[in-house]
Amino acid sequence: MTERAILLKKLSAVEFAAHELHIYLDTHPDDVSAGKAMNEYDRQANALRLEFESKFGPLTPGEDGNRWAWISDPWPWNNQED
Amino acid sequence: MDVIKKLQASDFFIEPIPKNAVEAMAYVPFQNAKTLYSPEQGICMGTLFPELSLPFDPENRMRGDGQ
Repeated sequence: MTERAILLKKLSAVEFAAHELHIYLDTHPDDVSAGKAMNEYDRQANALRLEFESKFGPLTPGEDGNRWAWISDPWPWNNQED
Repeated sequence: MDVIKKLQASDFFIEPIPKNAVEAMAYVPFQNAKTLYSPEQGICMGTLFPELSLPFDPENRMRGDGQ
């Protein structure tokens, strides 16, 4: 896999973990250790997103001032680099 | 290959089925998470929680993990 694909996979996994804990906390709001784990995965996801976007461009329209930059990346079917 | 992360021990525990359960009422056993998959394992299994990893296994009519 390319560096881009590896980083994107890692980001997806950590975002998934943070979201899983988020919806768990909807029904278990007093589970302090789950809250700490979610904050840790949120922190990791933010760091990975910053790293990805600094190397490969924005993932979402976001607030970087250029609303089209995020779709100038390769689309899923433009997978020649993977 | 289960990569497991232990949640920090805490006092959090809710009875899976209420002690004062009432006849003819349906209950969903309450989840008390103690361990988590690693993010990489979790995204493959479709859940971060080992106790919710229940692949459909109609042949054996049992938990997919053999429990």
